[in-house]
Parts: sequence; structure tokens; C-alpha cells
Amino acid sequence: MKITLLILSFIIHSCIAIWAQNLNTSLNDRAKFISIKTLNENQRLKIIEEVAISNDTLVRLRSKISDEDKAYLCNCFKNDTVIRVYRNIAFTRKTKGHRKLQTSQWNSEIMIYFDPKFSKQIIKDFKVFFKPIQNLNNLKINYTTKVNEANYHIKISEGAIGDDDSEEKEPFSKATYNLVTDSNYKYYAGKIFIDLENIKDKSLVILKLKQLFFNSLGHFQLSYIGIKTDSLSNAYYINSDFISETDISLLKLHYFKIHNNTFDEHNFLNLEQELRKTCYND
Amino acid sequence: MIKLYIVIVISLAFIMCPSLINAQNNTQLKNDTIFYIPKPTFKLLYKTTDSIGFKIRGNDTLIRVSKYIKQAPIPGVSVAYELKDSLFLEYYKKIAFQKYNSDDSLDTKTMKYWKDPIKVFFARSVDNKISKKVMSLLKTLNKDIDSLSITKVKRLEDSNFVIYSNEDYQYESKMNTKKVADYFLSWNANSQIYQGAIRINKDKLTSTKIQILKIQELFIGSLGWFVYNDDLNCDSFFANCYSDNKALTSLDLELLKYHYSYGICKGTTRNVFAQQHKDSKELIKKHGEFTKIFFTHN
Repeated sequence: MKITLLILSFIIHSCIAIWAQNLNTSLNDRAKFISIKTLNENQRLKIIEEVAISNDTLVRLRSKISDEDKAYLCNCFKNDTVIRVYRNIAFTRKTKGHRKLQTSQWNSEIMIYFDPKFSKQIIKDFKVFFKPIQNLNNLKINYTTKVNEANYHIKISEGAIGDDDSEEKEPFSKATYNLVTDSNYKYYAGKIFIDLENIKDKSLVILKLKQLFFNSLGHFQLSYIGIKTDSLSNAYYINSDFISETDISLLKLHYFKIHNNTFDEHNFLNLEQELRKTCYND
Repeated sequence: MIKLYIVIVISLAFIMCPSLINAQNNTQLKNDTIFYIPKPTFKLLYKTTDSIGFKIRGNDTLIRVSKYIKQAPIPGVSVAYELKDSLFLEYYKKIAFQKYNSDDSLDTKTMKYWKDPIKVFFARSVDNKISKKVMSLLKTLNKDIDSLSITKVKRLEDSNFVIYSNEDYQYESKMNTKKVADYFLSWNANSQIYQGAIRINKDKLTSTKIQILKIQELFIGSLGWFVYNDDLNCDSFFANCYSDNKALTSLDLELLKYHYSYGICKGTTRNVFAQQHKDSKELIKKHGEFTKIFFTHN
């Protein structure tokens, strides 16, 4: 009996160790080399690669997820509804004919510059609305009045956007956004254009700004079903003064880590599975 | 006691390199020495009657002679082989050699490098603040990397590298203007770059900081038509991802120094490069750690 229990306990511990290892593998960082001279004795035990250069040795350390990070990750993945919505909106086809659906993220602090032609009220409402997500893990949003400091311009378009007869209540009607990406679908610059002149119902302007900006944070797809109307990713979003908890959770999930390379739905499902095991076993 | 010294000369024909490898044992020669000379070298420097025997070593025939004739100096500049650890070389190979396609087993295109000094001209629309920050990095490269000279020039006609934007005259007609920022290089048959240009689109890259980082990143890429790497941390200029904190890392600098070191043949493909290292390491293994190998560049 004792032997059986001992074997069982050994198997359980081994499984947990393997899960933790898989998790570390999934979230491994890119190679960062630092001088061996900067390390203490404990850090030297974590060396996994060494490169000798003139007058120094550069080393790469084994990265390990801290308990704090793990708790944060578990929290991001705990809500099944958020995960379901996330899978609907976050994985998009990046190139024509490419089968893989991948995520895109901002890998730069977003510094927003508003076109001075916008009313002060619109700018104020926008800022108040997005305040709760200004400082999430791996997503930083700020504002500037200096055009050359901004990498995100929110502008009134000089010409018409789209057809005259398009339904202006549609979030992307008479409004659009452009983003600049690196080769890993990480954004570092962007612009929103609003065709202010041709939007008859001016109360739609702030609504469009909110939805376009939110969607540009991950090149999210608008969803028409399966999501509450308090989410900005719902095409029929009902305006609110405050960003919903669902949308905050979606962004936390999207930005729990800046992925090293491309990150597709398969990667996400594997990670989710590993996390469920790891979080459950704790 | 009779000591045995082997003097080996490997010619251009053996290694398919525009330079010559000259490998030489570092120990001083004495009178009571028996010399064994590789057959090709013997033919070049000795008469048939100088042969007093021979031996076979591996696939080589070594001819025994009683007198060592110092070889005629090889024209060009000889630089000692720079031994590097294998992990460093793996990173170097990934960035220095452009592939023909995604098949990693095939050989690559030749590595490219600047032989002439780089003279950079900033077009009118590039802000002074940007050119100053860019030049600050270029001055570091100029100072720290042997065989690389970079200076700023005020007149277009004095330059061989132009940095401009969508707002300027479009200096390079072959530039890909669909990209928000890109570079274009021209090189000769010896893989030596003689002209370059960087173009940024200020409409898309509105932030001064990002314009600086992008120009710096592209300039470093243009120093060798480098391949941006998907293993290195995004802070590295050789990484294929954006970072707000891009800076010249110690590894970046070492990779650039090595690219511009003449301790290995220039303008080679990856396979030739790997073979040269293999040959050099084998020579060192065969003849001892004091063996010195020189790469002679014309």
C-alpha cells in the first residue's frame, strides 16, 4: 500500500514538473545575452548558453516564470466566456490565402496624438473611457500634444472614407485605422481616420473612436453574435461611459505576454491546456 | 635530437576563396631539422633534385628536403585567423548569409560588406535631431569596428549613402516605397557594397523616436545585407522585431566586429565560410595550438 502511494505521489509530482516545464517552454523568451561579470553566484547557476567575445563572456540565463506571473496568467485564463470570445476575435488571417489565424499585438508604448479639430469633450470622454487599460501588463497607453512624440494619430480625414450610402451606424463606416507592423505582427505605429464631415449623427463619433481604437489594440475582428453588447468588439456595441470588465479581461488575456514570434490559435490552445493543468494542480 | 617541422601552404584553389590561406607553424626553425613540404609547395619553390625522400600523410604527399626555402611573400595583407566559439558562429551564420529560399540545407548567397569608407548624406527632410542621434551610433561603430569607416558628409556628390524620406527627392529609384522604411544596397562582383540608401515614410512613422530607431536598425542591416534574426531579443538591432529599447548590444557589436574582421575570407557563401573554419580548426588540431593561420586579402 505504502509503495503504491509512493509511486502515485512520484507520478503526480513528475507530471506537475513536466507541466511547469512545458509552460516555461511555451513562454520562453528570446535570447538575451548579458555579461557574465554582472552575475552573482546564484544567477550563474541559471546559465544555459555562453558566447565568448573579446574581453568578456556573454551568457543567456534560463528563464522561469515567477509564482506572481503564474498567478496572473491563471487569472487571465480563468474565465471560459472571455476565452471563447477571445478565440472569436483575436485570431485573424494576416496574409491573403494564408491558412493560419494569428494574433497581433502592440510592442511599443502607444503615444496618442489627437487632431486638434476634435472637440475637447470627445478627447476627454475618450481618455476617461480608456483610463482603466492605460497601464496593463505589456500594454501602455499615453497621450501627447506634440505631434512628433506620437506613434498613434487620431485624425479627421481630409477626404471621404467609403461610400456615401454606407450605414453610418456600422462601426467601420466612415472611419478606418491603419497600423504599422514588424515581421512578427507586432505593431509600433498607427492612425485612426474619422470622416467627420460625412457623419451626420455626431454622437457616433466617440462610439466609432472607441471601437476602432479597441480593435486596433489587437487587430480584433468585430463579432456579430455570441458576445454581449457591452463589449467593444460587438458590432452592435451599446455606448457606455466606462469600458466593460469583459473588454478589460480580453485585453489582459491578449497582453499577458508579448509573444516572441507569431502566435496562432494552435499555440493558444496548447498554452491554455497547459495552464489549466498547472493552475488546477496548484 | 632531430625535430620535425611541417610547413604547409594551401593555395586559393583548395578553398575557393578570393584570398589565400597561409598556415604556418609558429616554432622557430633550427639547423638540425628535417623538413617535409607538401608536394604543390615543393613544385613551386624547389628543384626536383632537392627531394631526399617523401612520406604520405592522409591524402597528402609530403616531400623531404634538407633546406627550408622561405616562400615568397604573398601579395596583399595577411591577417591572423580569428578563432571563435561555435555558438557565436551559429548566430553569425544566421545573420550574415541570405538564403535563396526557406530550404536551410542549401548554400546561401555570398555575404556582403563595405570595403570603401561609408560617407553618409542626410536629405533635407531628415531633422537635425534625428541625424545627430543616428550619427551618434554611427560614430560608435566607426570607432569600435576595425576596417569600417563611417563619416557624415554635407554634399550629396561626396556621399555613397543617402538617408531620405518620402518628402525628399527620391534618390534611389529601386527602393521599395510600399514599406514604411527600407534600405537598398548596390554591390560589385566581389560582394563589396559600394552604395546604399535608407528611406523612411514620415507619414507612417510619425514619431521622431521611432524614425531614429528605424534608421539605426536599417543602417546596421545595410552594413552587411544582414538577415534579421528571430531568436535574438527584440532589443538587439539584429532581431526581426520592433522594440522601443533597441540599442547596440554587446553581441551586436561583436557580430559586426567579426563581419569586418579580416581573420576570415570575405564575400563567401555560408558553406565556404563553414569549410574555412573547419579547415582552419583541423590545421590547428593537427599541428598544435601554436599554429598560426593567416588569411591574405588582395
